Amino acid sequence: MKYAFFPGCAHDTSAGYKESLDAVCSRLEIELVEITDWNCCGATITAGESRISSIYLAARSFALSEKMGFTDILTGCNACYTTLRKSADIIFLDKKETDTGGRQIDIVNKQLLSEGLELTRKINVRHVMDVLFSTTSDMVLKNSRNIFFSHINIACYYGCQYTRPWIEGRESEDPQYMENFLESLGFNAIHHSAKTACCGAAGAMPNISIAQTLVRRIMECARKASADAVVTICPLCQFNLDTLQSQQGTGGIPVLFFTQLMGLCFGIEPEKLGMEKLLVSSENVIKQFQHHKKAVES
Amino acid sequence: MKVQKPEIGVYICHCGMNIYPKVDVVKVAEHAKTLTHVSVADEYKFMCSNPGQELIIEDIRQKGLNRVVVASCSPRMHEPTFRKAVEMAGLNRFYFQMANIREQSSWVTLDPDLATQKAIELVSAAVKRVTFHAPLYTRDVPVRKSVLVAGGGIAGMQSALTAAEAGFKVHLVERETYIGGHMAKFDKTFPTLDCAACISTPKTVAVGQHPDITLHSYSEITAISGFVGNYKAVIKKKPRFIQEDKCTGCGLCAEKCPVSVSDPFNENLSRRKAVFRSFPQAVPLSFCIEKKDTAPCRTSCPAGTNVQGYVQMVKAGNYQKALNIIMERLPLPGVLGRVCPHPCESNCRRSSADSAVSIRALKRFAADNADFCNVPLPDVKERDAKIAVIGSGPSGLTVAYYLRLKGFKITIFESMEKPGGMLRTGIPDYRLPPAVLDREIEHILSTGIELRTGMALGIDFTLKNLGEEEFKAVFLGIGANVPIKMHIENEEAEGVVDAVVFLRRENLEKQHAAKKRVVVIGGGNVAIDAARVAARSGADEVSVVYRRSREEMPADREEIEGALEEGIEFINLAGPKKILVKNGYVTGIECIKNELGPVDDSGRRRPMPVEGSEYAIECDMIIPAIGQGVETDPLMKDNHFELTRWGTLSVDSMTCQTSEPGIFAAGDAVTGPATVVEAIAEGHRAVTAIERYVNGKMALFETEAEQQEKENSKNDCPPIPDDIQPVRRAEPVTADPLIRKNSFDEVDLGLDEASAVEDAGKCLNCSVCCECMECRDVCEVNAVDHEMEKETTEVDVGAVILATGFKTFQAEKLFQYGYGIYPEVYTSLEFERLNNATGPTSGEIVMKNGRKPESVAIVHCVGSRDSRNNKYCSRVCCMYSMKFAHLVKEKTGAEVWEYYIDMRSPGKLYEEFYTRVMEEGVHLVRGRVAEITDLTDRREDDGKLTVVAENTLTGKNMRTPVDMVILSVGLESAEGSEDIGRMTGVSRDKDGWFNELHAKLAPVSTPISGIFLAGCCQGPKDIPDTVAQASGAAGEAISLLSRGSVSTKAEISFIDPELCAGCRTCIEVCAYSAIDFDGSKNISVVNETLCQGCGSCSSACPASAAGVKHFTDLQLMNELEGFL
Repeated sequence: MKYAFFPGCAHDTSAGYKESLDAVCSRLEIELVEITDWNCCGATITAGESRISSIYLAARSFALSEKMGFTDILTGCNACYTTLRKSADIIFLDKKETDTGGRQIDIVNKQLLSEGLELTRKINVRHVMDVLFSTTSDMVLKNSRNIFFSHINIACYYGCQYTRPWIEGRESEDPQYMENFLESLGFNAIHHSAKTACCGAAGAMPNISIAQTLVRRIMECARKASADAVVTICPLCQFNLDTLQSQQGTGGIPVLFFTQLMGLCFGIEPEKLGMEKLLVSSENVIKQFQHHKKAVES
Repeated sequence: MKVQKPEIGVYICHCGMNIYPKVDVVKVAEHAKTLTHVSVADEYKFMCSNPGQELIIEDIRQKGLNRVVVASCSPRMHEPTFRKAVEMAGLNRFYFQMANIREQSSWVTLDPDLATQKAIELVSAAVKRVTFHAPLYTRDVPVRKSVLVAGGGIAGMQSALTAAEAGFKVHLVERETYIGGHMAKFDKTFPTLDCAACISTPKTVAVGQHPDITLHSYSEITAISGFVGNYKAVIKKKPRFIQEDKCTGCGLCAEKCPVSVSDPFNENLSRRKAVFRSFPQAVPLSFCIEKKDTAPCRTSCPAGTNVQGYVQMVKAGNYQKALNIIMERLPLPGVLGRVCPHPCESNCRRSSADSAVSIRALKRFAADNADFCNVPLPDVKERDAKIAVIGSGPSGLTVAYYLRLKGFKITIFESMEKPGGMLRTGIPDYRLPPAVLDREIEHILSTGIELRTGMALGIDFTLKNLGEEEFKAVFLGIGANVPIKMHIENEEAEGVVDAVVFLRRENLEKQHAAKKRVVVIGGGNVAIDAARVAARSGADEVSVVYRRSREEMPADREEIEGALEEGIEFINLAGPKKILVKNGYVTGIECIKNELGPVDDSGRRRPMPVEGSEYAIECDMIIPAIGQGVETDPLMKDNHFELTRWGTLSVDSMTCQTSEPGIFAAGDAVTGPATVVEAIAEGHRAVTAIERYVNGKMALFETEAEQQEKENSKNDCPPIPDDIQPVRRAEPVTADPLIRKNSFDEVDLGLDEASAVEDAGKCLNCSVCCECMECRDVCEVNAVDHEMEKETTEVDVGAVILATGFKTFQAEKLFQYGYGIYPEVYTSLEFERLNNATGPTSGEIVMKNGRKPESVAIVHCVGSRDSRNNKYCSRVCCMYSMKFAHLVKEKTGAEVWEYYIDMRSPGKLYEEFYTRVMEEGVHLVRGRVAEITDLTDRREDDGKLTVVAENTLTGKNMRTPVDMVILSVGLESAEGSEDIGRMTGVSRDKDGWFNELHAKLAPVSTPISGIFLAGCCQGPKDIPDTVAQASGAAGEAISLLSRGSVSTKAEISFIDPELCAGCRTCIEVCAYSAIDFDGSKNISVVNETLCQGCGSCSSACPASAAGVKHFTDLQLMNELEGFL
């Protein structure tokens, strides 16, 4: 399958997200085509400052991908995901006339015209995790699954922007999606209360002490639940959890991308997954993993 | 009859400023004057006032009016007022019509001109209608001076006592086993903090003792019919299994009861026994036994053994009682404890949590650790009838034993030297030591059964001989002993020995006759037995050849695994083709490889030979074990038994009777080779049949068959708790394979006592009561009656008071508050029990770890004032939350945080209580709690819960670590109030509360005459309001009934006898059974006492013969015309 890919500002520089995502995608025969000339999504900050700018920033990337012939945009960042998806809902679902006249999509198209762009059909914004999990066939799962991995405790961490406001009810705060998938790969997904707690996001730059409190809450929760590793789905979450816990010296729990764990199960070398880039070393997890794997093979 | 010319008076009401000036009343009156037949039209400020009514009366008297229209408010408001005025002036009250120009015009129309226009139209319609009104008459019918009260909480009790004190008979129906409702669970009551028990027990006792109150506890109302003054209610009383009039409440039964289940009265914070009384002061004081549907272990046992019963007795360490319970259905406990394929374990519900209870091993444990001499025998009344039992296998022994216990004289005929049948000859000693079998048969015979061994049917005696000996009935338990041939080449060669023969010789004679290299053909238990015996009887190598895969072998898993451990080889997917022979001796067997083809009738894949894949297995002995048939030749000498197409005896499936009357059969002789427990099960059927045959009562079977079809299972086993700690299944110790394969000593060494007791403790008690009968045995007044059935009573009452109460909001719905996730989050009802002297902690406020909390958060409005759940305020939570705060402070000294939205404390002494709690140092935080989580910010708070909220007075976010959280859950309408609503016709509002007749002026009445409301079923309210309303409801009921009669409705149906075609459609649709059929005239006739004027018959009548008085076609059509 081929999808338009919106990397977002943090994708290429994050610790192994790009490497591991590419490796896993090629194993699953998924092709991610970077949107030519994509622009910053504006993150949550722009939406707070100027709603119209935020919508336009997203609309431009939508129009670019439409031009490339795509209907689905994938992103691996929670902030991009939530910003783009909210904008998409406004542009494509809100049929009401706005105060400034005309439907939202018409206003946006008026502006896009200056670049010769136009939005004619609905764009679906999806998180790469959803696509990767649903693309991984039962066959691949069965071949990668190993009952002995169940000794490795994984704390799944979704961050605060993945489930809300799209998912309602208990699942919004205690989602099970990643847990179910990693368990079917053979890991032991542990229960903890910080799955959707905030990591501080970009707020860590201007006010590090608030972010430190938030990160401490999450990492303490993982520690109490005896996690061997925390697994994230967003470069900023990973960055905050990894760097700030290193500063705090609360005893490191490695913070991995979900694609790195998938890659290990698919038999990809840790180096090709960028795992050496993590600040808190994931050596123990890799060792445990390979130990169990060897035990089974012999 | 002379028809008077209509003279109509029209009166327009101003209703103060409600109708006038929006409606130009003068203009309306002026217009009215122009209408046909109107002789007077006037307007007045308040028509409902005395002068207003006088105006009408005067005009009727002075100006000769004979019809009246008043245009004012809703008829629900003042129709009775004006009808009465019309009547006072001497007219029939139905010569009146009301036009509603307030609710339907002035209040809802903005434009005065349009409002006036609409008022004119409404008045015109009313005038047209009233022209065609006819006089109608009501009749007085007597009422029953009795009251039904639905619900035995504080509201129901108060209503019942008030009505009973006034001299009315009261039926009080309560669905729980006790009266007192929610209040019985409380400890203290706000704002005076008096003890709930101290103020409610005088009421419960008074209700229990009042001569005019009949208390129907543990009962539910299933139907209410009739009409005001004459209601009929059907009350279903669930069986307590303890006779209320005998039980003294001593509690010995509960002490003895082995079954413990979670206690709903204590909000499942503690456990109680299957026989229970919710709390010591309960009224009625009688205990009650909780029974659910029969446990799956018991229903799946072919013999119907009370598995749960004996498992519980093992748990309690009472092995003798366990054995006694087993012996009620199984005469051979030690045997079955060893060889039963235990279908019970496959159905054990515990397996969904971890693993099934080791039921078979527990049965064996009981049999091995109790004394057969102590098994109680019933007082046998000796009977003269003699019964012959042929064969002493499991079915024969069952029939002999249980018929003997019924007093029959039994003689067993056995062809071998020792009794036991296949148990002795077929099952190897390492599985079933002969001593075990001997012990159990000895016990069976010790009841006075005659055993004649060495008596082979057809050789030593015949069925004819038995007739000569005057046996009243004969039971054939002759088994299936004839080997089935493989029908392949050289089957007669030396070295081919059938498994049945081989096993018999080895078991009885210990011949050690196995050759060196043995091949067993077959995949059942007999094949595995033969293989393992061969290994023990001198064979060096033993192979089992089976035509299907190993998974499909019918043998027990334990047996296959045991054989594997002992080094026996399994050759699967191989079919024997021919036996290889040299000089008449076996040298090997030629097999063909099979592959699995399509699924056959047995649900397994059919083995298909692969052409050209033949191969030989070298061996010097072949033991075919592919099945056995029944030896029927000796039977056929004198009789002609019907046989099945498999050559087994054909019997009636209900009675086990063969084609020959008086001769019954069961076991392998009927079913072909099967299990011991199936043989016993069929034996029981034969026991019942033989007893009935001798007593001449065979017809009973037919009536039972009909009944059985009606009964269906309830399937109401208690849910499997989700907090079960997995326990490893108790596995019996087995002898070392290397040692045991050289000996016939028992392989399975059974369970030790500790593991047996622990494993029995895993039982989930699926039917709650295990029917071990310990309670019955210990009760000194013989109050226990396990056979009790539900009772249905019908009561006739004049009025009904609904006092069905409330239920609390399900806190799980607000998942962000962590109820059901964090153990220290409690609902308010749980906290009431925690704080109660009769509760799980005897009134200590402690956490699950036993420590007192140092900080407690109380969260208001859980499920209330919440647009996503209940929008309404539950009215009691603020006050009880403050009561909790005070109690926590008083008992533990903990810091208390109350999170409220608005503090609602209106009421006498309520605000003062609020002030008192504030002064006690409770932290009051105004703000709805966002989340309760175990995420904490400081190490020292580990293990605490964090309450996240915004204090909306300071604008600050708060994260408060606490030890305990109490959720003040709101009130919702009670479970089942929908049904009560449907039965009585009382409607419910969108939240499920019963609708009162008028929010202000008739708060305890309903639109259904004679049905009243008391307490929380009408809406959330506290105890003082509830009691006041309950007294009011009783007062209304008394005032209705004390006159002794009520007027029937006048607006009822009539059926025109000229038009009625006698089709009876109206009779079918009438919900009140108010239409009878007059056979002599072939027409339907309305019973005027019963008819409620609902109009169903009118709309259903195909001939338009049925109609409703005061709503005739003529009247309605003219009203419509008035509008147009």
